[in-house]
Amino acid sequence: MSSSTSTSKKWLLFYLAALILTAGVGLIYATRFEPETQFWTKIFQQRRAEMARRSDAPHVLFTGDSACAFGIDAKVFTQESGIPSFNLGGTRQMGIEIFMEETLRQTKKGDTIVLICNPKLLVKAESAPLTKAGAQMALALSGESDLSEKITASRPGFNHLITHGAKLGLHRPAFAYQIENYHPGGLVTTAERPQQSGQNDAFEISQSDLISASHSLTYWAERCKVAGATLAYLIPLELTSQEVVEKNREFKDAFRLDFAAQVSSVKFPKSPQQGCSSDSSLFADTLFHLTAEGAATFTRELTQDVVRTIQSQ
Amino acid sequence: MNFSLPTFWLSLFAGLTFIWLLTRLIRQNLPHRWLLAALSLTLLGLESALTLAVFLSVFSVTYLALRWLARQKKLPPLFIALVVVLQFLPLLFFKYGNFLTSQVLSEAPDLLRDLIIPVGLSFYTFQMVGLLVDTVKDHLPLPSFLDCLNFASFFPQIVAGPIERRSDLLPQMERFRFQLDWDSIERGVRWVILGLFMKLTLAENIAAESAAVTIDPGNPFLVWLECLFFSFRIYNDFAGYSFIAYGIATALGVKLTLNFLSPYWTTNFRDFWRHWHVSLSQWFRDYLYIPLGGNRSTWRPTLILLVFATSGIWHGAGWNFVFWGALHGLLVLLPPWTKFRIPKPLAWGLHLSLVAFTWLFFFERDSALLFEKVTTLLNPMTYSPEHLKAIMSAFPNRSAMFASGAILALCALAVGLEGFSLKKPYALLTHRFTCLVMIVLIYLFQPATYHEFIYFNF
Repeated sequence: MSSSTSTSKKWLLFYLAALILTAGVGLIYATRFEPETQFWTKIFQQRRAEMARRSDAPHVLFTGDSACAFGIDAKVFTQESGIPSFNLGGTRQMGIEIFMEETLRQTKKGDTIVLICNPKLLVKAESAPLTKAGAQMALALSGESDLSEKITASRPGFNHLITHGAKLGLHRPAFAYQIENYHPGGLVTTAERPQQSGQNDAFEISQSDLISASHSLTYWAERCKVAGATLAYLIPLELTSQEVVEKNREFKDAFRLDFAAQVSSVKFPKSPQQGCSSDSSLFADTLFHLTAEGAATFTRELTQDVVRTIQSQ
Repeated sequence: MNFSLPTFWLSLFAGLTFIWLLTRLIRQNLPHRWLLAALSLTLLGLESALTLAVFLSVFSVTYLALRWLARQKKLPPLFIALVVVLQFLPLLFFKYGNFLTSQVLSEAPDLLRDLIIPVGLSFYTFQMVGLLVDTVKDHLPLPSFLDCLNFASFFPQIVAGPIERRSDLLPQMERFRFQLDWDSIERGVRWVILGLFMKLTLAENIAAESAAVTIDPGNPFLVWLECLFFSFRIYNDFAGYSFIAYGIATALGVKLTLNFLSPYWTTNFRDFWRHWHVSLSQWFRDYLYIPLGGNRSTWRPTLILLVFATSGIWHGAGWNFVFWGALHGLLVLLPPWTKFRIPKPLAWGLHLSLVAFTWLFFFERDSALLFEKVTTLLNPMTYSPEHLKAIMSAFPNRSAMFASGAILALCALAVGLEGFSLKKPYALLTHRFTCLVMIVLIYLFQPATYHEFIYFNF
C-alpha cells in the first residue's frame, strides 16, 4: 500500500470520527443544554411527580399543544366540577406523539382525556417521524429512541445555535418561559403581553386534511380505549378580530360537527365561544396563549360542557 | 436524485455495496460499464418513472440519429438540424410549451399548464446535442450503445450538470471500472463535504433566514438585502450541487468539469461567465456563438446579446429570464471597470453590486413587483434615512436579524477563503482540516427541512 493511500484511508477515518463526535456533542446539547427541551422536560417531570400522588378515581386529563398548556387551569375545573383533573399540555413543536404518549403514561382506567390542539397538528400520519423538538423531548424524557430520532435530535440547526449563543453572550434568558411560570395542576403562564391584534382568518382545513386528522384522532381514541380511557377533542380558543369573530365561530362550529361526523369514537364538547374570542385581555404572548385569568375564565366556561360529555358516556 | 436527501445517499450506498460484492464474487469479466448504466438508470428511475421515460426517449432519438448519420456519406445540414430539433422537442414541450402558447396564442392548452419538468431535462438534452454535433462535425467514430448510454446518463451529473463534452467524458466512460481507489475516494469526499457545506449549511440557512424578512419593494435597502441574500443563496446552492457531483465522480475515478471557479472574485462580466456555470457558458460559446460567426462576425454585439438572451431563457420560461440574460449580455459588452483606472477593490465592489442587481431579474417572477423594485433601486430619492431605519422592522424579531447577519457573514467568510487560492480553485476550502470543520458545521447547522436545488427547475 502506498503512503498516500494509507494517508487517504487515515483521513477518511478522521472524517468519520468527526461526524460521530459531532453527533455525540449534538446529542449532549439536545438533552442537557437545549433551553426549550430543558424547560419542558422540567415541566413534565414536575407533573409526573404530582401525578404520582393521584388517586385511582377517574380524572379528566387535559392535553394538547401550548394552547392547552397555557389555557387550562385544572384547579378551576376541579373546583367547578368536583372531578379531579390535570393539565398535561405540551407544545405544537414537539408533536402530538410526545404529549399524548406522556398523557397515556399517566392515564388510569375510567379517565377522560380532553385533547385541545389546533386540528392541523392532527394532520400527520402516526408513522411520520418525530420533529426535532419531539425527538429531543423523547430522548430527554425517556432516553429511549431509535437511531433516526437520535440523529434528528442531535442537529440543533444554525438559527437555534446562533440565537442561543447570542442570548448567552448578552446574558439574556435563553428561553422565553421560566420554570417559575409553572403552577401546580399543570398550567404554564407568562407575563409577556405584547400588543397584538386578532387573527382574521379562521384556520383553514381541506377535506383531505380533515380525513387525515380523523384517522389520527381515531388512532389516539383506540390507544386511549386500550388504556381504559375515553378521548374528547376540544377546539382551542384563539384571539380573533372583532369584524370576523361571528363568521369564524360559525366556521369552527361547522368544522366541529364535520369532525364529529367523521370520528364516532371521540367526544366533541363545544368549545367556549366556539374557539374564537376578540377579548384581547384574555390573551398573553400569542394568539392562543391565555393569561392566568384568561385560562381560569376559559376553563370555567368549558367545564359544564365537558362534564356533560363525560356523563353521556 | 437530490443530493441533500438521505434517501439518495442510502440508495447510492446500497448500489455501490452490491457492485462491490459482485466484484468480490466475480473477479473477472465483470461488466463494469453495464453495472454503471444500471446504477445510473436505477437512481434516475427512483426520481420518477416520467423522468426515466423522458430521458430514455431523448437518448433513443440521439442514439438512433447518431447511427443513421454515421452511415451517411454526405450529411445535409438540414437533416442534422432536424435531428437537433427532435432532440429539443421534449424540452420545448415540458419547459416552454406553456410559455410559448400563452405568449403566442394568449391561452395555454390545459395539457401544458402545470407540467412538471422532468429533472435534468435541460442538462442532458444539451449534453446529447453536443455529442451529436461533435460526432457529426468532426467525423468521429460512432460510440458503442453502452458508452453512449453511460455518457448521457452518468448519475452524478445527469440532473444538473456539468454539461460534459464528448472529448472529455466519453473516453472515461469507455474505460470505466469500479475500483476501490482510496486516494480518489478521499479526494472526492472532500469535494462532497464542501458541496454539502455550501448547500446544507449556507444555501439552506440563507433561504430560511431570507424567507422571514418582509421586503418592502419601495425600500431600496431591503431590495438590496434581498439581492444579497439571493446572490449568496444561488451560488451556494448551485456550486454546492456541482461540487457534490464533482466529488462523487472523482471518487469513482471520473474527472468532470469544475463548473464554478470562484465567480464572486471576478471584476467584470466577461470573467464572471468564465467562472460561473462554466460548462453552460462553453456550450453556448461552442454550439451557438461560434457557429453563428463568433468574434469574427460583424454583428458581434448583437450576437452576444442574442446568445445571452438565449442563455437567459434556458434558465426558465419567462420574460424576466430573457431580460436577465440580455442584461448580462449588455454588461459583457461593456469595457471592464479597470479600463477606467478604477482601483481593483472598487471595480470588484461595483461589479458585484451589478451582479447582485441582475439577480433581481432572475428571482422576481412577478413583473409588476420587478418593475417596482428596479425603479426603487434606480431612484436616488428612495435612499432615505427613514428607509434605512426601516430595515430593522423588516425582521420578525432581533434574533432573526442576528441570525441573518450571522449567515451572511459566514457566506462572506467562505467566499473570502476562496480568495486565498484562486490559482487552484477552492484549495483552502477542500483542505483536509477545513473539511473537518465543515463536517461539524454541516451536522450542527443544517436546518430540519430542505429546499430542492434551484437548478433542478431548469
